[in-house]
Amino acid sequence: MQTVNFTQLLTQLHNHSISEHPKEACGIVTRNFEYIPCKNISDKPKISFIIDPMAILAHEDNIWGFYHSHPGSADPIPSDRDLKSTIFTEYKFLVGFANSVYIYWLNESNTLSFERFNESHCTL
Amino acid sequence: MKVTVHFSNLLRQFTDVTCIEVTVSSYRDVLSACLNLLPRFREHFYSQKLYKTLMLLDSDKYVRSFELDFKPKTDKIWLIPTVSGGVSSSFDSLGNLSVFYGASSPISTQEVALRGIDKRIRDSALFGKASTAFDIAQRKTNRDIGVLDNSEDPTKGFGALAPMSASGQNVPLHFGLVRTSGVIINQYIKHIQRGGVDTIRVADYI
Repeated sequence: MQTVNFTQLLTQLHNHSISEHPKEACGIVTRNFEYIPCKNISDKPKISFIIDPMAILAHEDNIWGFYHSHPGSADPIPSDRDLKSTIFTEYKFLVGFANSVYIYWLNESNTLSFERFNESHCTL
Repeated sequence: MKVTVHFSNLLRQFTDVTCIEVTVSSYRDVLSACLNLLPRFREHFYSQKLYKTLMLLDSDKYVRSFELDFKPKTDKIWLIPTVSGGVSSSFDSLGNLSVFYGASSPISTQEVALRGIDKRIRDSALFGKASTAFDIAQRKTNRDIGVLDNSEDPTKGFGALAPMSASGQNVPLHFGLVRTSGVIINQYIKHIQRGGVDTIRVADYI
């Protein structure tokens, strides 16, 4: 089992969330665990995000998951609004700000579960 | 006009086809055709709330809700999902997203009914052309703003007041007496009268 450069991925997520602050940053994590920053097309990017669907179309065969940031949050757990995209269970969902990142998913009881994102989540 | 509706890979698990060709006169017809012609897509559209994630693209332009009755500009339409969410769990963010999710208009009988009520309010003499609301304050929990606070009582669910301004959002007005817990309108609705702009206080009418 080959592990990816987890630290490098975290650095990319960190940098994007900081550079977009106070707006929500969002992007695609590829199957090689490279991060592709995407445009947030929400009308209110400080409190919500919509990943540019053109970016999803362009990379749809190489998507491991999606990331977005909760700007300025010390402990950026997923919100209720984050639940609705988790119907696409083939993808992973990450939320965070700076170095704090969570992975979240839809569990069997149709509620949101989340835990700290760590290296064990991303193995090839 | 005849258009080809393409589905992204992610949607193909629900459509079983890569595209369909339909004759339509508006974007709304495009969505109706997909729902009518693709039973599995229709099932997931409602039961899995797929509608909350969908967008229509005409060439490379997003179709907004107010454009649903417009004639398609090209013969190549994409129906694609996107990923959305955000730190806010307040009603305004959903309103914001619905600007994009034009495809989600005919959702359920309940929502159609609500749309009817909303239309009656908007068509009434009082709210006929109300289009802008502002100075709405909402209570948010710490969780809403992304802060984990173990001392927070989950049975209360209220944090500090968070003033906000919103334009073009639905205002939670109701006929009759309504007890509000999380949403407080504390100021005004900007009301556009025939021939001029006027401002009324919400408190005068509820």
